[in-house]
Amino acid sequence: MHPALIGQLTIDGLLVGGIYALSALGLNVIFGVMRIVNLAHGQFVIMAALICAALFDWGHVSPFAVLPVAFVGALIAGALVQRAFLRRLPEDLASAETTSLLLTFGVSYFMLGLGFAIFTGNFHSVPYLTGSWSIGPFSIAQARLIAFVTAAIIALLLAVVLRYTAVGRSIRATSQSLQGAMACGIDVENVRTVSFAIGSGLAAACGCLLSTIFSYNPQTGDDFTLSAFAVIALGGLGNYAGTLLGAAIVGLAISFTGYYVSAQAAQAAPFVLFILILLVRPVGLLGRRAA
Amino acid sequence: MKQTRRQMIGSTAVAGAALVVGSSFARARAAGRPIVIGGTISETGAYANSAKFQLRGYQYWVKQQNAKGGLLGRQLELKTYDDASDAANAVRLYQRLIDQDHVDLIVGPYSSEVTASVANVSQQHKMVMMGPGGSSPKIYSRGLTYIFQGIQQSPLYIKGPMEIAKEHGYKTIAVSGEDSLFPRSVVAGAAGYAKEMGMTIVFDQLYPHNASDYTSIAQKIKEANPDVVLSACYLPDSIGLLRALKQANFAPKILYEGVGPTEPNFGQQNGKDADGVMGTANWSAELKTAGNAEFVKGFTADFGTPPDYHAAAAFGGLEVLGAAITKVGSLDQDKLRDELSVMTMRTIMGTYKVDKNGSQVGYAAMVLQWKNGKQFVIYPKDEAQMTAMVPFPSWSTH
Repeated sequence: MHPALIGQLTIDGLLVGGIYALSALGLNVIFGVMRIVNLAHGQFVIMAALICAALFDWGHVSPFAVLPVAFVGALIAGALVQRAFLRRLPEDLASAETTSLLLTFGVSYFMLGLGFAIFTGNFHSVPYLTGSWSIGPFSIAQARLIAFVTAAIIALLLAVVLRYTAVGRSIRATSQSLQGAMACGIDVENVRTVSFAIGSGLAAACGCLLSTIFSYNPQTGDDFTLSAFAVIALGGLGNYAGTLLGAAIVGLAISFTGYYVSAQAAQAAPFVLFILILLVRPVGLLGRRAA
Repeated sequence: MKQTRRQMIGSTAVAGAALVVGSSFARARAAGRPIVIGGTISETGAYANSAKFQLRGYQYWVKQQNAKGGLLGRQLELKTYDDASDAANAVRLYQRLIDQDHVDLIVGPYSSEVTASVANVSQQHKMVMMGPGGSSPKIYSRGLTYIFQGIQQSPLYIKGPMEIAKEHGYKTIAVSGEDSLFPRSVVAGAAGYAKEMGMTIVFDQLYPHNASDYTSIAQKIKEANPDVVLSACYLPDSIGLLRALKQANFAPKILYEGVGPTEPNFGQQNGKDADGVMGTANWSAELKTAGNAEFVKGFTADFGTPPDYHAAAAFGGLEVLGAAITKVGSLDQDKLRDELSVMTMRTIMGTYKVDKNGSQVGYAAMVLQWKNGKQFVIYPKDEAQMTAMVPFPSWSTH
């Protein structure tokens, strides 16, 4: 165990953590406002990645050029899913969680089937920016660094929107207290649609960024739903700063477990953390205690 | 419903009579009816892409043979079912082919996994089975006596790259690959070859099926700093691992990636990075084996697509079975078994020859290498289209 190797594993872990953070932020925005668990989240991620792969095959279109378009497309798709399905679910609180789970589960299977029909079960990966930069003893993969920086910019933009815009304030108000928000005259239905749209958009942005990094087929979407869960469970449901911390921890866990144990163990690492945190500190590292 | 004694006697008698009449009728017709060859193919499911070529290889041979007058003066007919890439389905369907459809001969399904299960059915019914889809040695090490390997043994795959490494005086080897039956069998013999050739294995670890990120495995290989990387990959992991090695900025002297690099897609996906990567090809359209050029031409004309090695292995296996039947002069399964065990024959795949377990020892596993966006055979020497490009170029010169 030498310092350069520890440094390299830390760099690899944090860079990949940035990608997980973006996907988990999207899931967390949706959960914070709507209190629903979106099981189709990973499918939005992978669908965007598959589209990037297809466009690259077709005309060498850069995934970074696809990103804004995919983001807007997913905003619209997310809003439609919310308006067409989730909004129609009964308001009755006892059953709302179960029915929303079942519904997003259904949406995820629909998207999985659609993915297989359009893109087949073959694995894809965009061969773009495949090289690396050497800095001292470290090699930093170009695609990963650029994806990380892009993810950071998007996360920063999200923070600005949440903090300084009217829409952002409504989103935060609604996630803090549904009754309070309604009492202040916030159009909660609209806020829900906007949050679901933003969450889906972030998922698609994440998909474009990971398209150059991972190998994936439609089935891989489930892994991304689950790893995003592990991240927000670690950081705390509804807590955005916690999400970033959770993503860094998951990224590092994958990187170090992969090196010191095995690639098989690395795949399980996020979920072992997930289970541990549920047992030890169910509100997450930075989570608020339930009222 | 409860049957009376009389009803039971009645129905048994009818069934018995039907059997007697049926079988004598069948015997009387046997001479004129076609020889039916049965098997299953994974027309749907995970193996569908490759299995389709195996089916076409069978179909093409049957068509060719019928044009030459069939076998034993009878025409041939192929009867196949879809096993949906599932071994349990295949077992049921082979039982059906033998018990209900009464096929005269059986041929193997696709993949080691399915072949391993179906081999038991062939043994129980004492029917010979040529297995062009079963490369794993596990199928043949269980004492079965009616199964014959119609494809290269997977542990032979790495012999070529290791011999090339030995020629160049390389000493250290990293072994990796996907953690599933076929890739495991490919690298299973690495330790034995290394010992034989005076080399050391400095790293040996597999990664899971459907992995999406190869960074950590690449990092570990880099730390082990081997001369040679031997990884038993399919296409997706061959691309993922290559890219991860590049990102870790590690270029071994020899990089071998299993069967992934045989696919044209490997070159399209990796561009210049593919140059220098070695892989295993069980067959190539360029081979100068017996009848190969005609096979490629005829197959392409029939199906509108060139054959791949699965089609070639299927065709080659039936060439052998056909020759054995002609030599024996009947469809007697025990005589066929004896003949298939001892015969040698030149086929499009190379020279057919099996050992006492039915394992293929005649077909050579070829090594190909990418250069300037094309694949070239580099091993064995007598089939080589170019000399091996060694060492693998560094990433800055790719």
